[in-house]
Amino acid sequence: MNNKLPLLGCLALLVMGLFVAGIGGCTSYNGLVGKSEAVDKQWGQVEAAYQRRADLIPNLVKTLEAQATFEKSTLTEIANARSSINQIRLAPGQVPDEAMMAQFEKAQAQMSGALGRMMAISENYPQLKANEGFRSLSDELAGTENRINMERLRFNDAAQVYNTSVKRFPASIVAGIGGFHPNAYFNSAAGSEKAPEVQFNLGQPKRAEAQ
Amino acid sequence: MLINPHSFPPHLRPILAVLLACLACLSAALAEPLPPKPDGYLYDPAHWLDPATADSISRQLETNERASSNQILVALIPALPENTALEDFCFRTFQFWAPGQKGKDNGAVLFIFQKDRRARIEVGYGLEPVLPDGLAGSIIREKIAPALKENDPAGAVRAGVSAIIQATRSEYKGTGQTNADNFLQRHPALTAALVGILLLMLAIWSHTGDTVYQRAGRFVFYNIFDLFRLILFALLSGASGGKFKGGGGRSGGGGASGSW
Repeated sequence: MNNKLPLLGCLALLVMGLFVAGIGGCTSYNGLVGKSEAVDKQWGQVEAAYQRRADLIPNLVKTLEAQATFEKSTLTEIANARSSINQIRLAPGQVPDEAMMAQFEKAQAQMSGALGRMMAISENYPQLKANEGFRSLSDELAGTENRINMERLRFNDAAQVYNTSVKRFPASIVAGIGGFHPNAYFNSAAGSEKAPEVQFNLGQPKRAEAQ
Repeated sequence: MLINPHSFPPHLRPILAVLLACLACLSAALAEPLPPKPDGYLYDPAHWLDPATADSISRQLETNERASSNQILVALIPALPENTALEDFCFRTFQFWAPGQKGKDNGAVLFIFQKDRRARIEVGYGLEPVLPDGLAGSIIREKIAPALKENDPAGAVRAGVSAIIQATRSEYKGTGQTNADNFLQRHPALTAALVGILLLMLAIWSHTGDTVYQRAGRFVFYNIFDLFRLILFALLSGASGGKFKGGGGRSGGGGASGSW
């Protein structure tokens, strides 16, 4: 009787330990699910912002083509960027892995560059600047470039929160068992380099002229 | 307890000190010069607008929130902080002020940077359908910039605010209240009931007789009455009247910028 008591005690401790570990495991599993979902949701926002830009392009190109003298080289550049974006097949609703992400980002950056150059060149066309439809389109484009930047920032924030919890002990054990992998980031340095390049102050006189 | 240096072994304390210093430097570097949360609909620290205009703009925007639940703000900022991109500054300020109701994200802020001669309308997610970038851009170009060119900030803000309200007013339905309304303003029935109880108490206890017990009872109840009255007045005072409280709305960077 007496020598069974320590054994029972050990057993009780073991059960308690397992219980606590189980609860801890469940909470960190649920936490990971929540954070992973936040990343997926934010990725959806990023894709929506890029899609919004893609939807604007046909109208923009149409308006520019109506300008007989408009430089065709930028339009070809935009067409090329478009086809390389279309070649990338992302799994719907899923954050791409690092290689895919880099490819996606490169193609989109090519488009940003082409659009930026096109807008810069359009500054030289007074008829375009006076065209209300084109002005409104270029506002939409500027707004969309801004949305892309902001949603990317938010994506990186969400991915960082998730990645940190995937890698941090002891949740990393749960992440390993549950098959949670760290997400790829946007290369925000490249993105922010590109962003200021796309300056649209269309329709507003330059400051020197105004004063 | 973790940060108490005495709980650390002495030979580790320098390391702790260095770590804490690094942390302090980091948080100082990350502290961004964002404007403080405004307590009214108009943020005008430099008093660029004359008091009468400022007052009427604030009232117009408050009425707008009561009618539509949209939270539209005006921020007149003397100068953009150095090495800051306009879009980034506006986005982060929007995030911090959080205009718009949670879930509806129906906020918008008209930013005007006096020294930089630039303006931006930052639009919350929920107002993007009715205030698309193209419209925001044309409001800046056609309503705001011309008045600012004439050095008429009051006219610019008035025209800009009216155009934004007109574009957005039918998107959401208001509740007749603002987020800054206090407890009693939000519960008018409760307020009426409290006032009723107060008057009833007064009526009953001023008509009791004159025995010792009745006088003692009256004394006690007068004091209770007084306490009640004080609480009610405290709740009623600080009635919102032009105060603003962000509802937690978000922006995705929508809107347009321009200069004059």
